[in-house]
Amino acid sequence: MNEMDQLSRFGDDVPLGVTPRAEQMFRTALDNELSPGGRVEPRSPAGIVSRGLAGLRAARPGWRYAVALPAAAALAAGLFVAVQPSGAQAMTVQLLANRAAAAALAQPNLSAGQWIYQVKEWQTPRPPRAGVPNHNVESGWMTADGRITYGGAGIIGNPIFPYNKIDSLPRDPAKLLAYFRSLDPVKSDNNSAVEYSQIDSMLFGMVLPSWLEAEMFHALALIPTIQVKDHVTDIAGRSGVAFVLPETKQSEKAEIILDAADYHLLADAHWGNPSAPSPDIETAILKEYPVAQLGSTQPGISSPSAAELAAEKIDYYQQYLYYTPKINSVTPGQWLYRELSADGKEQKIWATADDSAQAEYVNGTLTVCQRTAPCAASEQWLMPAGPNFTLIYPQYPRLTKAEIQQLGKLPAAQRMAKVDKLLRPNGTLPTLPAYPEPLLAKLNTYATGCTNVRGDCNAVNVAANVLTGYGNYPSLDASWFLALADVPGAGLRSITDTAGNQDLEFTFPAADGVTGILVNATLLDKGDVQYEGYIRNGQQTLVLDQTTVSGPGVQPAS
Amino acid sequence: MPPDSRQIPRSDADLIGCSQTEPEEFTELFRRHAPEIQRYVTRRLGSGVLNGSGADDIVAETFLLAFRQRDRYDPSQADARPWLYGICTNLIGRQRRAEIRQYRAFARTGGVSVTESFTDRVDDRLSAANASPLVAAALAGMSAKLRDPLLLAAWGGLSYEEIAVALGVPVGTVRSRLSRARSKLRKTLPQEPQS
Repeated sequence: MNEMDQLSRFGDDVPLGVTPRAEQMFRTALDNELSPGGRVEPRSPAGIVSRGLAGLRAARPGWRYAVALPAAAALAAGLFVAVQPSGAQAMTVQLLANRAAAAALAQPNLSAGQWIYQVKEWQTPRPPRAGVPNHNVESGWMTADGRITYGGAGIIGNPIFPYNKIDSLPRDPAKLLAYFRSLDPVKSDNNSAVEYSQIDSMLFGMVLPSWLEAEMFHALALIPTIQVKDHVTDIAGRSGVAFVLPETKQSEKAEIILDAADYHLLADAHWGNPSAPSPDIETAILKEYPVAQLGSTQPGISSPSAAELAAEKIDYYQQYLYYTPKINSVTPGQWLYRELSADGKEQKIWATADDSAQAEYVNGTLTVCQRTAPCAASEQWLMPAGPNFTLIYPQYPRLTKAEIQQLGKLPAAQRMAKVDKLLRPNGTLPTLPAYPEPLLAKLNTYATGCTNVRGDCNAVNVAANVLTGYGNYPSLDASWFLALADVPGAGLRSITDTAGNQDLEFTFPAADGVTGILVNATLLDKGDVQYEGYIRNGQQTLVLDQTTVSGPGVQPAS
Repeated sequence: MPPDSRQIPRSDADLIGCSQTEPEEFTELFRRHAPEIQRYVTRRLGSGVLNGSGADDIVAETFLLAFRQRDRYDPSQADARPWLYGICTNLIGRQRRAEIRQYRAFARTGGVSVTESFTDRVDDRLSAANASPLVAAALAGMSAKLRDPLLLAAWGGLSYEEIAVALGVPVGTVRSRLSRARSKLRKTLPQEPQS
């Protein structure tokens, strides 16, 4: 039995069916939508969810806290008392909270988009068997707000708490706890566990502003059941002192371990059996520090530029996309119909996804030109220079219709093994570097005929070429945008393009090539990433529309 | 579209198309797919005291979000499941603490926590029961980037291309994430002679 079979059996006795409650909730919500004035227009994905079922959760307290005390007021109120470590003093919850808060306040404040490098280690007490590790060390990058993660960084890589709401959190530990209780979707009566787990995940899943991290420790100390445990050792062998949440009927014992000397966060532990000698799962943060960019391990704080923040936004929405891209995972030879606008003049053109052939009507006659044919010399290629299509979109084998039909008849447990058999490629296919810095370096190796090489003009031109000329839309990986944001002098501004779209323009100082790459700003705010075009010599080339068609000259069904 | 499409029941895409003008049609989509979505969510979030109603919320929210976005549905996608799985995977992401808690509980108890409120039949647990806690521990220690495609494949039964649609990433990315997830999972499980 392979690992996919094991996974398929996991929980496979959960019955197929919808609960009456879920059905009732959906039908009521649908009725609300359809009743006049019932619809609340969503502005952002977060807004959709928090408001979507608001009517069904009438008893839930609201989201907002109107007034936030300024940090200075909190300080003046004497909330944060720095206490020097003293071995002789018995550790209490209050003392630990004060010391941890003081340590937190000494940390630099980072912005939401700051990249963090993280190395963490997890361990379970299960004895290692042949080939079965019971611990692992993982490293990776995350943004301070925890929204974007690469590699093993972050808790999981989803928003834990929206960073833009942090400033409106109450600067009072008791109110903070009350607020966390209000977030509990099931209104559990196990308040301690609800409060603890929210604090736990915010402390470990993101890098909080120092004032909030300090408040978190004060809030922990206010949880009635919380205890302190002196002289603990984390899985990495470091000596620490811990906040302990004792086990209840509904929740397990858990610990937040702080360094015994300087009270920074060391590890997060969860017990199955509270009297076991070691936790069921413990995750220790071995390293965690800000770095100048994704992929770097050199410590450095660099407040992200506007361009980088926009690229991070693109990255986030690509990871958690709501919408089905219009053109996605097409084969290189797939014909696309495109409407372009070059300097305000519209042009209708057909091209294959990899731009190996183009077609257009000249004097009423459809002319098709293959890139390998003599006519190619006079053709204006959408993708004049850059990496091959398959390097960006590796082409793995595809299932035929017949194969898919056959798969549908198999039990689900067998389906994946079969799929794997059908799709297993012969070795891995070549791709471009995944992280922005090496990607940018690689993109610069393509000659696009520009001269400002030190200004990364080749990489910028290649990005514009690929975005315009290759069909796989809009899913060019966000690491490209992160790479573009790292181009020397890259900036961001808002423009209205010649088609009337509100766009974000990534601007580049290289004067002899593409100076701007346009992404639709209105759609991006809704969570949809759409490339609009580029600017060269002050002239805009826009992709007004593109859609797959069965061949050159074929008009898309409207 | 295959020529025989008129003889088979209406596709999801047709249904969604109709629901633009006849919103009630959308309830048919719920009827078709909610049972499967609920099962998937329950496998990921469990049905325990703390999580059970959370699964209901996610199922309802998935279809509500889908309803609101129905005008953006790609009509060439006859089967709406990848779209629905994508939305619910996203929503599950917001409950990842509950999800991790669920796997940890599973790892601890040897595999009864997911199902105990549904059935008392634990005697006929599968022969793989010994490995299940390891699977659970592996899932708990995996990033969402890897876990999402893995579970969409194993539990949602989606193909690579469907996962790509669900998660909005290129198929190549699905392929590489899935292979990383599988090798991660494999390393956690006891080695067996290859059959």
